[in-house]
Amino acid sequence: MRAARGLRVGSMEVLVFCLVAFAVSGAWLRAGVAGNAMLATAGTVFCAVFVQALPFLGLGVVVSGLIAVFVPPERLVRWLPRRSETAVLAAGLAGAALPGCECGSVPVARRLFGDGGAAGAAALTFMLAAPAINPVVVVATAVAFPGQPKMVIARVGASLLTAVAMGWVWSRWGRAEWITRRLPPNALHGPGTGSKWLVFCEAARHDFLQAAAYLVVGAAAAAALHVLVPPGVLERVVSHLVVGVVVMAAAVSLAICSEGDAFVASSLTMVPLVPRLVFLVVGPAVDVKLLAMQSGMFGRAFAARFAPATLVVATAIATVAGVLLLGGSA
Amino acid sequence: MKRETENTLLLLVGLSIGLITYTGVFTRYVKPALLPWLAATAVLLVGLALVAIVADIRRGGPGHGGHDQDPDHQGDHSHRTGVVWLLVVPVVLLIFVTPPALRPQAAARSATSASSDALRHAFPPLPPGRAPELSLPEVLVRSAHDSSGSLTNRLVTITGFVLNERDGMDLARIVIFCCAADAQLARIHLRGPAGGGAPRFADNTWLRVEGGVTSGAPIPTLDAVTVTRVDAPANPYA
Repeated sequence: MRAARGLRVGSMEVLVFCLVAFAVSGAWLRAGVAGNAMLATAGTVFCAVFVQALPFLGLGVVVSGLIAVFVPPERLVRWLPRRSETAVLAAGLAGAALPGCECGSVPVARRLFGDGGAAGAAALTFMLAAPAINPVVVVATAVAFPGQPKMVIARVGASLLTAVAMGWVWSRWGRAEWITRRLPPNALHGPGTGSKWLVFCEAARHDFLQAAAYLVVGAAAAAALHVLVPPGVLERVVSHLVVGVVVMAAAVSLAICSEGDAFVASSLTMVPLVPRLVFLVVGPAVDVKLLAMQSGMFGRAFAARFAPATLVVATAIATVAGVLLLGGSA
Repeated sequence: MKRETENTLLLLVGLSIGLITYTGVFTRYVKPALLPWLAATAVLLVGLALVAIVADIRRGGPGHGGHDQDPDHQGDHSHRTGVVWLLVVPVVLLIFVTPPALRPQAAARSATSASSDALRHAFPPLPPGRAPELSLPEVLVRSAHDSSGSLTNRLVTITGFVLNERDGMDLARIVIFCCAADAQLARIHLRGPAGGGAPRFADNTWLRVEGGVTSGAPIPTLDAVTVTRVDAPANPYA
C-alpha cells in the first residue's frame, strides 16, 4: 500500500495497472528490445539467469519449508556435534547431499540459521559447501576436465576448506546484530497456527518471494555486466599468474551457475589452470546474484561483510590449493 | 505491498514460467532438458499462491486476513516487502517481451573443443549410414580428441548457421552448458566444392551441410559436398 491511500489506490490496483499497460505496449516493447542488440542480449541473459535459477530456488524453498516444519532450530542444535568446530565440519560435509545451484542453498541456510546461536556458523558453512561440492557439480567438473582428476580434487578440497574456514570465521568474529532480516515470527511452529501443511506453504511462500525478488537484482546485474564487460577481456589478460587470478575473481560478476561453470572454465584454454581453479571455487561462493540474495535473506550489514570476506578466503585457499596440486605454471 | 498483491505476483511468476514452458520459448534461455523442472516449478509456485489465497479467504477476506492473524507481524516487520515489486520485471519480460535467442555476436568467441591438454581417447564409432547427422560440438570434440579417427574418410551432416568472415564462410552453432549466460560459439570452416564456390549466404542463414571433416587447429574444416537451406531449428542452441 503506497502513499496514495486517500485515493484508495492500493498495491493491487497499481499491479493491475502496470500489467495492463505492459500488455497494451507489449508488441512495441518486443520490437524495441529485438531491434537493439545490447537490450536484446541483456534481456536474454536476464531471462536465462532467472529461468535457470528458478527450479533450484523452488527446490530450495521446498527444503526450507520442510525445515520450518520438521527441524526447528532447537532440534537442529541437538543433532549437531557439541563443539562448534566439529559442527561446522559436519555441516560442510552435509553440503555434499543437496544437489542444486547456489541460489537454492541461500533460503535453506537462512532457515537453518534461525536466530543465529549455535547453528549459525554451521548453516553458513552449509550455504557455501552445498553448491560447490555436491555430486552434480563434481561430475560436471570431471566431465569438463577429462583426464585431470587433480582439478576435481582441488576444486572439492578448496571449496570445502573455504566453507569450513568461513564457518569458523563466523563463529569467532560474527555478530548477531548484522542479521537485520528476520523470518516471519508467527508462521513458524507457533502453537495453533494451523496444520503443518499451512506452515510449510507459508514458509515456502515467504522464502520464495524474498529470494526471488533479490534474484531479480542479481540477474539484472549479471545481464548488465554481460553486456558492458567486453567479451574478449578474459582471454587477453593471461600473461601473469597474479593478473590471471585477479581477473578470474572479477569474472565472478558473470554469475554463472555452479553446475555449468566447469565447462566455461575448461574452455578458457588461454588461462592457466590455477586461475581457472580460483574461478571454480570463488564462483559458487560469491557472485553478484548471491550478494543480492544474501542481503535479502540475511540483511545488508551481513552481506557487506560476509561476501568480501568469502571472496578473500576463497581466492587465497584456491590459489594455495592450485599451486600445491596443479603446479604454478601448468 | 499487501499480502494479496504478493500472492498475485507469486501466481503470475508461476504462470509466466508455465507459459514459456508450454510455448517452448524457454529454449531461448536454458537447455531443453530443464523442461520437467520448469513445469514442476510452475506447478509449485501456482500451488503455493493458490494455497495462500484460499487460506486468506477462509480466514476472513483477502484484504486483512494475513495481518489479522498476526497483529505484531507489522509492528516489528523488519524486512520491507517493497522489494517484491521487482518480480514484476521477470513477469513482464517473460510474458510480454520474450527477448529473442542470443545472436552469435553475443556468445563468447572461444572454440569449445580446444582444450589441448585433454587426453585423446577412442570415441565410439559414428552411427551407420552414408552421412550420419552429428551436432557441431560433437564434430569439434571428435576432430580434436578422437584417437580412433572416426571422422576420417566419412561424410557427416551438420546443421548450423552462416557466419561470414574475411577469408570465407563458417558454419556455427551457439552452445550453452547451463543457460544462455554461458553461451559460446562453436564453428567450423566451410570449404570445398559446394562450400567455397557456392553462392555466398547471408549471415545467420541456416544450412544443412553434408561433407567430410578435416582436422585443423584451432578450427577444423568441413569440405562440403551438398548444401541445403533449412529453417531455423526449434531449439536455437546446440
